[in-house]
Amino acid sequence: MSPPKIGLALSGGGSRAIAFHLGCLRALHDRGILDKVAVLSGVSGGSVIAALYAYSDEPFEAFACRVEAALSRGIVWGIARETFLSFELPKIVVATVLAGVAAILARTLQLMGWLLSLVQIQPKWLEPIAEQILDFAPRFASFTTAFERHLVRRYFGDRRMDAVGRRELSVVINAAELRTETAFRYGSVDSGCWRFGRLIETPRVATAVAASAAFPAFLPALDHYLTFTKYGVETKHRVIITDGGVYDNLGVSCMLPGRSSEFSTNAFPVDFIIACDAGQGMPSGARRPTFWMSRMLATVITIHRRTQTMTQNLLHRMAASGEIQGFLMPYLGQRDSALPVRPADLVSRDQVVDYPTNFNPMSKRSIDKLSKRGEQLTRCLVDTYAPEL
Amino acid sequence: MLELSQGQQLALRQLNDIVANSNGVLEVLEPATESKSKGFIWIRLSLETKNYRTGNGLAFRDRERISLHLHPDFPFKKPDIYFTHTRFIGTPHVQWGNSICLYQSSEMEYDPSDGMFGFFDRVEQWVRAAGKGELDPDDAPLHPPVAYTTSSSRFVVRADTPTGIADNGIWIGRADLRKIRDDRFDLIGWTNLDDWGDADPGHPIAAAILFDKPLATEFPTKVNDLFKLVENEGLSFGLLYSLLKLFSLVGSEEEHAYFVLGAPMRRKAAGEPLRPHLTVWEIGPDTLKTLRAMVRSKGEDEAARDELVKWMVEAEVRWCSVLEDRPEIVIRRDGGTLLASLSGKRVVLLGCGALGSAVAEMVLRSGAAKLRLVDCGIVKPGILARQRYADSDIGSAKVNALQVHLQVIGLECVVTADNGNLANQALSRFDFKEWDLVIDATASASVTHRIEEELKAQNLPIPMLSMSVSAAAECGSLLVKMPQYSWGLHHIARQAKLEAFAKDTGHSLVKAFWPERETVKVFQPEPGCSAPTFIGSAADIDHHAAGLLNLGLSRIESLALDAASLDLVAAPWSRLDDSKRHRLSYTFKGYARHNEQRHCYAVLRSDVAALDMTAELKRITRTRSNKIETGGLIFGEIDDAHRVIWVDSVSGPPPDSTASETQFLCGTAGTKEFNAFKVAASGKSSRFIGIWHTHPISRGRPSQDDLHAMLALLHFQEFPPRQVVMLIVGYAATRREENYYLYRRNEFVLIAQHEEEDGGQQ
Repeated sequence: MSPPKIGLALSGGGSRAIAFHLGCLRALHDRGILDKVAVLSGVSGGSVIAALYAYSDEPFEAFACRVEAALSRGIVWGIARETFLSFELPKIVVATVLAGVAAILARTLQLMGWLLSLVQIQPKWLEPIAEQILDFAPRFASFTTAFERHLVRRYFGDRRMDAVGRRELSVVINAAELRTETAFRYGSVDSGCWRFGRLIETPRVATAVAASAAFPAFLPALDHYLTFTKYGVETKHRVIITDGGVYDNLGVSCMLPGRSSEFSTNAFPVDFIIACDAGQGMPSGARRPTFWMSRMLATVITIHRRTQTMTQNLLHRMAASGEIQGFLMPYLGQRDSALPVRPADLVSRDQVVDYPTNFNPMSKRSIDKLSKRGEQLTRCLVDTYAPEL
Repeated sequence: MLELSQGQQLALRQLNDIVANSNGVLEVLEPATESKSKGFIWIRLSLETKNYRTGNGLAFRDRERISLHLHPDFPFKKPDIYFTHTRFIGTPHVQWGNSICLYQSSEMEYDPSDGMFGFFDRVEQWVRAAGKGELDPDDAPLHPPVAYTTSSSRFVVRADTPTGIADNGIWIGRADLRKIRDDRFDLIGWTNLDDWGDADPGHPIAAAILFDKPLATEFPTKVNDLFKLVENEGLSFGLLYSLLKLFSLVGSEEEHAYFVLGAPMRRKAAGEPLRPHLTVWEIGPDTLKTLRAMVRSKGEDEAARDELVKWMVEAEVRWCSVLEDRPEIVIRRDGGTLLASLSGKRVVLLGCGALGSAVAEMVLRSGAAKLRLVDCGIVKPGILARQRYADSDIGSAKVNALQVHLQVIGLECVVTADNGNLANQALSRFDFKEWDLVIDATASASVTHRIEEELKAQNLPIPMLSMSVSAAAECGSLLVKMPQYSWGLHHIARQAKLEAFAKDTGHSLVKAFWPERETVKVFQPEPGCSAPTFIGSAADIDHHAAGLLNLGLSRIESLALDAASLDLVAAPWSRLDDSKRHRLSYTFKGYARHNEQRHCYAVLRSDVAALDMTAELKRITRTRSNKIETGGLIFGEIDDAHRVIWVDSVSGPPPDSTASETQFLCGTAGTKEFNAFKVAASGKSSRFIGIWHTHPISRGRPSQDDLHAMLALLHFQEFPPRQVVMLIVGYAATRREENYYLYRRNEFVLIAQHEEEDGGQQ
């Protein structure tokens, strides 16, 4: 009867997620479970708090103070500071102009090609030229690189992904690669994606977190060339890496059993999964997506919700079939009436569910409420379903 | 004109195909000829063998002549194949000097669909291996020399042959026999000629000659040839004749005499010495009579001598069939199985009912050394439907009837019967040192309670299995108690129930064993107040008995010494709703033991409860300080019968509690709902039983405030409990110690009266 190998996944959801997860971690820490976690995976906001915890060896309380301070300061101001009070701004301007001009040129060429094809002329050289123009000007500096600089300066320095500060903990920071439409995982053991292979150079923690948290609606993707190795062959690829929530907003995919490390990076099968989800839960039905913008947004959200539900369903099935021993899902958007037993002083769903998923400064009150809900839900689930952990 | 069966025609067509494509390697020498055996035909062939010669194996000529003997029912009967000479006599896999033995088991290796093609592939493999001298890899079983049996006597060889035969020349002595029936003897020992002594052995004996070298040929059919063979092996005629004379004097007039002949032929595994293959030669009473006449007349009796010579020259050898059971060469059919782990073990079986009587037989067949049957019941007519008793057993004690049945099976297991009542005395009737395993198949609550009580005084230092089936015999349940798990079956069952309700509540296996009280229908097969039982067939029971026994043995192999487990297993045919999971398994460690301080109850506190308390202590330290008292509710069960308090889990403080450095007042907000949840989630096995709180820097003794809290709890609320537990965790900030106090409602009344009489203030 060896103790189960525990995986902890922290979902995306901006500062709301960070505050909620802080409470979940508190409950796990009180219970002595946090020290037993073997795999810690984070997505977007979840990867910020995951990295803050994993890449330090400070006591839990000091860590919690640091997280609360970061929340009340707000990460956006850090990004703004890096943008305007450093040499990043001219770089961003140059990169944006170059990439913008290149994009306009390339799209024009592509449009010409399409027009010519209407009159049965198909010049073969047009498309490769358009691609070359695009590759000529990657967006090497952006608000996301400013975000990365902020993380370096404030939190992680030059620390690399393999320099985990907690004993026997494997860390995975989940991002998504938009060229190959795959998961791009930064890990303490290796980093990369299955299409390109593993990164030769161990990336910085700050880069991983910035990429993972680059929410596509607000932050550009990290756009650069990286060297990979696959089946012993080294190749250089341009990658465009964005928020991990695009691929798997729960962050459990790296810890599900049945993946082979021969193909995927970061295959860490575990016996028991704790997936903290800062999602809103059931939508109120107030949305009215009438025109293009709102319709596309609703479409993206619907697809996103569907993948979330399927992941939850997968966890249920894996637990039922015995592939995993069990899982817990402290869920911010949990319907309170569905809790097995409701703590008398529960911070209810309504009090916190509308907090937005950005990185703005957060009030002490909001931090307390969100984290208390995380703590209460986690304690309740552990007590009820996995007291022996 | 030779008439060929359809199969033989097929054989010839296939053979011609092979010959035509063989580039002259295989030739048919002459047309098929009729055999002496009816319907068979002979085909003479020539096989080119010069390329198979290597110098290490058989010395083939350039071409060898071979004959095929074809059954009319070919291809369903395989052909036999012979060399036309006996140059390869004495070679393994050449029998009778010329018969080529191609298949170890033609049943498995010969495929009629391949016909002649497959057969000649095999011939090619044989010739290639024979040419290289690789026909006998070290660990392959060898073909023993064949002796065709002509006597109806059978010998079961139980005793290993004497050791070191190969080094010390021919071994001559006697085989000690036990006569089982007129036509069956068991060979139970070997005695060297030198150790014989003068005393009558008191049982039948046979002469025994064990050669030190393998025989070159099969055992002959003629007495004359046998004498020659024996002489070739190095035993002089004179000595053999003396032995014959000697053994003619051993038995009575009407009996046969037997000669056990052995020659090294087999090994059990690679590298082991060769063990003798045994045959038994039977000599009839008439011959013995002649021999005796010769002995008595000191060889002067002419008629007897003529008779004897005639016998030696003309008579056929009567070979008996030998059924091997020697441990040195026979591999147990159950070797390496789970049940084989009981071999040589001493087993106590409680209950000889449906499961018990089936389990008893399996334990016996495993080769267990001792089996003790305990049951106080008698055999009733109705149980023959599924229990291993006979009509003639009806009315007798089950243990005695079962003992007789098991003894008839006759393996070397000492079976003892005990018809004591287990509800009065269960495990304490045994000296645990003399046993290796207890199997409880009583499915009786009173026995379980008795065991629980007995184990308070003395732990059971050997594993125990307890098996039962559900009311419709669709599911089986198995509890395992490992030696260092300190509590009994009652305790395991309770822990198991909590686990099952926590993890798989609603699963039909859980519902089958812990049904809602309202749905239970008692099944009493006989009129009147007969013992209630389950509905199930002999097939159901045998399935569960075998499965649960194996499962239990595998659990014992894998569980930690201080663990216990529960398995619930659905039969494959059961109509359960949960088709995906047919087995639920739970493993757990025992609760930690403390002592209650007022009534001397045992307190068993789960690890989970300790974790609950640790978590709360960490929380209060984090949010306020480790000097602040904290506490909450205790959930578990107070069992007055066993005088045990089970503490399954504790909660943190309800939100309306107040706490300071000197006082903790437990609130009530949400506690009713929480208790209702705990009761439902545990199948009513765990409920609110009391309050816990900490004394951060002092001893865990109840203060005046604490007593008031108990008084309030027991008297001043709407539905007060009859008794409550107070747990005070002393020195909570440093070295935690748990102090348990059980308070009963009436105790507080007494104190109040007492104080009144005293005229005291308080």
